[in-house]
Amino acid sequence: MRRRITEYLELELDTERWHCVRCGRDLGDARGNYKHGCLVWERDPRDIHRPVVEGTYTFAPDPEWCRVLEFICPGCAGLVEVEYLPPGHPVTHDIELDIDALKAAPPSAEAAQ
Amino acid sequence: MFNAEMVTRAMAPEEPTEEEMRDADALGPGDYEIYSENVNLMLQEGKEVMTKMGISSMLHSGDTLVAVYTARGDLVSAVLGTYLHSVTGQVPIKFVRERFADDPSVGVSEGDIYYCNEALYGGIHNPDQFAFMPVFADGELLAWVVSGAHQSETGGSEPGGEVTQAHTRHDEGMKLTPIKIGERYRLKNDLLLMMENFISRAPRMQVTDVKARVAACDRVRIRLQELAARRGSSLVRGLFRRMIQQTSAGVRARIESWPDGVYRHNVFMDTTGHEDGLLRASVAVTVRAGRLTLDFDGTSPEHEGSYNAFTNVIRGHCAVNLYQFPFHDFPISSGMFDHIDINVPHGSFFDADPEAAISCSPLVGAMVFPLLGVALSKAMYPTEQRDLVCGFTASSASAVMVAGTNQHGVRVTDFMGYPLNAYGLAARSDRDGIDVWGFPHGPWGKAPDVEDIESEFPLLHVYQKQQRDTCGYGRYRGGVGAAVGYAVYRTSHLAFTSSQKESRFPAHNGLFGGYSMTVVPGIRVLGADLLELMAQGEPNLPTDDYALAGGDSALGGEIIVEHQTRGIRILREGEVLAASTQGSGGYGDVLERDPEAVVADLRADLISAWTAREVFAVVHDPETLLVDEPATARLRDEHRARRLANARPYGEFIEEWERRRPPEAVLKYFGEWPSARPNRVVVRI
Amino acid sequence: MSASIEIDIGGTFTDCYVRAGARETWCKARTTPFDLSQGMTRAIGDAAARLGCSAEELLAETAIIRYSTTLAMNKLIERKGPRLGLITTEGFEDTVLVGRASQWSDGIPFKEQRNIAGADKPEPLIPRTLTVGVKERVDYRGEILRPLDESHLLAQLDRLVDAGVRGIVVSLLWSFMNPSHEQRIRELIEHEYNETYLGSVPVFLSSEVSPRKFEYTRTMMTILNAYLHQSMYEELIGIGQGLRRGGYRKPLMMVHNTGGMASVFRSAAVHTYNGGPVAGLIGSAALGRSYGHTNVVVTDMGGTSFDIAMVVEGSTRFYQFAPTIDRWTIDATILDTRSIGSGGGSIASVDPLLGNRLDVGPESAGSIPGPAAYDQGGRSPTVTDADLVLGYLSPERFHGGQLRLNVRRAERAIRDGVAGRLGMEVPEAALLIKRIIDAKMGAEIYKQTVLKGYDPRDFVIFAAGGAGPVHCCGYAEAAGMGTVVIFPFSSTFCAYGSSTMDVMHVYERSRRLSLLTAVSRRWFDRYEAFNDVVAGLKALAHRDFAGEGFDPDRVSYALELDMKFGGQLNVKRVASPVLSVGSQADMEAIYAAFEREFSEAYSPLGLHPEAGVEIEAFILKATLPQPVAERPRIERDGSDAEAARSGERLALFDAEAGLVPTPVYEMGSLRPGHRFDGPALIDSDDTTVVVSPGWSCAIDERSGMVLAHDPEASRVQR
Repeated sequence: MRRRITEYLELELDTERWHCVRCGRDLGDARGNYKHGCLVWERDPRDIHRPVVEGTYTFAPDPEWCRVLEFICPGCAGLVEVEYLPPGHPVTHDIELDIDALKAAPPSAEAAQ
Repeated sequence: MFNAEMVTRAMAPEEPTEEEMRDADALGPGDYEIYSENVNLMLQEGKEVMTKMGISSMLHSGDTLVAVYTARGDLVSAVLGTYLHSVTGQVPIKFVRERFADDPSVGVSEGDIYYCNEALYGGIHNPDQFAFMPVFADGELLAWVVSGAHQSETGGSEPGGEVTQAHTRHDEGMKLTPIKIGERYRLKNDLLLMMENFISRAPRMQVTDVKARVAACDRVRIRLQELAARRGSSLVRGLFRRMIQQTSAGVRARIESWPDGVYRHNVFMDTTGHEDGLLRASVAVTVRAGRLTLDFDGTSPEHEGSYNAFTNVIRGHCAVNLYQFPFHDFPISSGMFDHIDINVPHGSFFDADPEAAISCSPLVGAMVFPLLGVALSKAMYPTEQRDLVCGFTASSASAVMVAGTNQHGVRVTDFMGYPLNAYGLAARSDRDGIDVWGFPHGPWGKAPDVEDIESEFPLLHVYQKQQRDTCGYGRYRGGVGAAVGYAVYRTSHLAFTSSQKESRFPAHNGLFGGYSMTVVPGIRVLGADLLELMAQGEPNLPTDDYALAGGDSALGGEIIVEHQTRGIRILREGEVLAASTQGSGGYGDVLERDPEAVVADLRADLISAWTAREVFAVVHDPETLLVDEPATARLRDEHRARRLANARPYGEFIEEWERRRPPEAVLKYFGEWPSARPNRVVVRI
Repeated sequence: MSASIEIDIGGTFTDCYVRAGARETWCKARTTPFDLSQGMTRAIGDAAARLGCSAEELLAETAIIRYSTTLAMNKLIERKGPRLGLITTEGFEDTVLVGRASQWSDGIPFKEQRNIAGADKPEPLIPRTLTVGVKERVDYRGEILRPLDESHLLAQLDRLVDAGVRGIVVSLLWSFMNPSHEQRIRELIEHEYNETYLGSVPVFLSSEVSPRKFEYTRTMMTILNAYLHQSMYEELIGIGQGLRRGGYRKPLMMVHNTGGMASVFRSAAVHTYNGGPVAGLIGSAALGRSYGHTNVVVTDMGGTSFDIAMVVEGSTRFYQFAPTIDRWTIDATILDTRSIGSGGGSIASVDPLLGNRLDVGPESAGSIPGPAAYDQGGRSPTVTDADLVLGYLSPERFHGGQLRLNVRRAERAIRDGVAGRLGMEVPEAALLIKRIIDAKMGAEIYKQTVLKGYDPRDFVIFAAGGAGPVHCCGYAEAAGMGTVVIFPFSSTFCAYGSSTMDVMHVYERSRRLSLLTAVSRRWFDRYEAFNDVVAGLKALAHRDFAGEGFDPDRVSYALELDMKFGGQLNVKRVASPVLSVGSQADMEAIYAAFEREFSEAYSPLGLHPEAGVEIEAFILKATLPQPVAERPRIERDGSDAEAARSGERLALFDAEAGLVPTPVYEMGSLRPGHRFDGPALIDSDDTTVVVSPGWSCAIDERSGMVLAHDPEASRVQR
């Protein structure tokens, strides 16, 4: 049984796997961090937020303080999530579901797709 | 002195007594519906009384609290301008009950009037002042009433109440622990004189507004006693308990419908209030068996700057998220916290030592907004609350303050209301966010018109409008923030301070691939010749921050681009200062945004042509702006190909990533890297 | 004989009230939205028939027709207005889009305001793409800091015209202090497009439409007037033609929400919004005067909403704070009427998430499908369904027999929606629904009286609207009030109200003068500055009254001032004791009036003249009183109320007592002097009066039904 967890992530409860909603790609063990099944593109924030002036404060995040991590589905190249972190900062395990509780939950807890 | 355990405990309701339960069950059909409405009417009446009798402008703008509590200090209902105050009244009441009720030198009797503005006793910061009174019926304590309002003069080392240059509590002015300021319904003039003395910059406002708060409490007290006399104290007690129960049961049922798990987010602060530096705020939201735990462990340590808070400040900000999103349709009462635990690590800048400077605490607490905006959204997306998914706002939540003598010769000190109320709202799961949406703490206030400010302040607005490219991009974009430029006008000089932040690192609250809002620096132009150029009919004057900072206009002068957090800056007549605001985060993959929507944003000057092409990958005719659909599809395919070409498998990425680190100078206040555990001694004199 | 005709065109019904010499009559016709004049003609015809003459005969005798309508607003809500362009100061092009930031909360109920994730700002009436910023700048004193760049303006103008705008709104910063740039822009527009094929493009200047401070509300006022101008104009042409066909050639006046009235061609669209309830308020003041009641709460309970307004010590001078029209805030003098979602169609529902709490309204079944009892497909239990089940309404008599009510459907809806869920019987549930809705309305009355600082026990309630007389005893009790008066024309109350209105125009202008300076404590002495403003406003009044065909010398003037203490956020509207000033004594008199009104509205503790006292705006009311004949008195004929008895039916007032046989009277048969105690019911074609147990009903010389809660309070008025 599939349960929609985010805009782009589905959970296949029987096999306990993450899947990309767009292309169905397996993105790893549902008890773990889906980000591990993604490709990661570390980007200079200035490629997304254009600097307007030169200097320390440019209207773009400071690239030495802040990097943009894009978590990408290897199947369809769609974005799954984006994180803004200082370089080297641990990647956030943002969704850690209690798979056993989900499996035990009655089907009426299903939300409309 | 200060009791951390009690502050934690005070938020959740006490165990109901058997008598209360009996009284609640004894309510007849319709009694609950009708009398709960009556209680709310009493509170509105109290608020009217306070507004009518007060002087300070915050009173009139609605940043007030009038609330009723059970005899043991649990919140039954409130009329308030910001949900922060759904958690502030309980602590001083419970403290007085536990500490002073049986103390013969103080006691709690009919006609007593108490007062408090010390944030350690459950408040937010010392500009928030509270009056509270016990309500007796048939000789027994039946309830408490609290009324409070923000007052912008505290007698601190800077006017205005939020002292950005404060190092310790000793720079921040009057802080009253819960004290009795009246007995037998009479205020004590010696204590009023004491307050006047502390608030010597605005003594009349202090005393008048104390009286206004007390009058509000007293009016509610009278109405409650009338109700008890008419229908009996049992009905009132039962009603109170039922009102708390209703919220409690409803909150629990809703939490139970969310998938059990842990939802985490991190945001970063780029200043201590005194100097640039990187600090982290973390949250882990645990949903388990109908209970919600909000754990802020992992937040960076406290520091000597002014951007610190106390634990109840964080709880108050959690209440803002909780009441504005997941539980927006529930009555306001302590019942909310029956099933919610909040853990704030002591020694972090979220809960600093009592000696710390915290008058800017709302700015710090505001980091909760993007943290919970994201974490709660991730818990709600798979449920019936998907329509409440929203990253909320950035964490700046503040504004520039000015002080000086205005064009009429009168001294003025105040926050600039427009930027305060001009933050963008993040995108939702099915639509964009809201541009220039409001003040996150209490979004129903109004941003003042140019003509309002220019009547009373020696300022000439250079521009005041939406600021393009400040939003988080995504399938749905977040709302943009505002650009406001002020020139000092018809006065020799004016002092500005500013406690907005996010000039280097945005408080990312994008969802599911949505990008963050961007950062906004502070701008000043010294020695500007604006008025001369205007008079000469110069056509090329700055119309937004980009032109002002970039020198892309005929405006002369020295341009300074700095962090938005700045201590006192004195500007002379003709000089210009920009005080702009953040947008908010996007939702979903940018390459999925409808190209028509991208072009509509471009037409409305909400995004730039660069962003339309480079981020959204939309190709359009530069003149007509008509979308070239095939070219757009091709460009978007190229972007996807570029993603695959540049991205690496997680394992490969993490191996290289983990060896990196920000520059040491940047990490001075972070704590240990990357755990953020305290690693230095904080020195306060 | 001289007659007057009043018309109130609502969404469902067109109400008509006619005075013809010593007689009065009233009636309702279905509104014909596609052509309002048809419903209006029908209503006039019905009224004439009741007077025993033809419509032409009636119109020949009619000296004045007054009317109010909300239909222009529907065009606004449906966004069916013309494409407009906006010209504003460069750098401030987003003023109406930003809308003071929290624009998303304007004009929506409080419950919705709490739902942040569900909020949206309204679609702008003029999009950003049709907004141009021009290079100019004026300051707070009206001084020009940056001259108008005309070549840049003309280039921008081309863009607007190419985009096909059918009207242009011009709103520049501080234009009300110095309108020269706005006026120059209009000159340029008219000159440039004099000979275009597009024909005339009307230009609306904010400095003329609303010379008030605060650019957001001033611009919105101008935009709203521009947006509604065309459709209002068309509507009026249709109505005017309809009347002329009937032989009427005299003045056609429109009711204004200022409490005044003007000829249709001198009525700005914004001022006609919500005219109906305001007419009801003015009518209540007049009725109150004739009864000797100076404190009245006028209540109108219809299908969807419960409207209330207040007359205090004979005065209706309460103005709405930050009035909104649809989702737009404006700054105009609009008499305060409140509306909550409590009406006959309000839906009762049980909320399982909040412990099975019973809510009644604000969701409404409207008139389609309407209450379950209407048999039009509605399944939700409503207040009207409860009233029917309780025995208050006669199923055959409802709406004059044109809408037969189905009791079984009402019972089923209540059982399924409420009684079953709460584990109670249907009659008990119906009583609970009534109790809750009455409490809500009573709470609203309480709010309007107590929150303004009055004691509700000092007030009398006038009950109007289709459902008002059914619930008035209930909500009066809930508000702690003891006297209710119901007039025989209660179902067309607002139409009656406009018959009591004077021709009155309101002229406003923002002008800041320091009555008393803060630091130096000097009184204002540039008297000509004050007098010039008033003279300017008088000149406008003169022009308008003359244009309407009245003698401007017969007009009387009253001046109000918006004043505040220095540093204060909100202004207080004060009645000025003088129209012109020439001495310090005049200034002191104005201050004394401010101090008195401020202390009453707020508190004497808030007075702080040491901060300075400012006059912010001048509001001139120009009035030409209209003769109002007394309503006809009817002689007592010595008969007893029994003569008006038409029967009885079973009705429920108390769960324990159960259904009791309740006497029913026929409203048209009641005569002055008749008196009876509740419980009792009074039937008529348009409404039912429920006299609750413990209440008495007495008919007075003007056919008013006076309900009193306390035997001592029930006195027949002479």
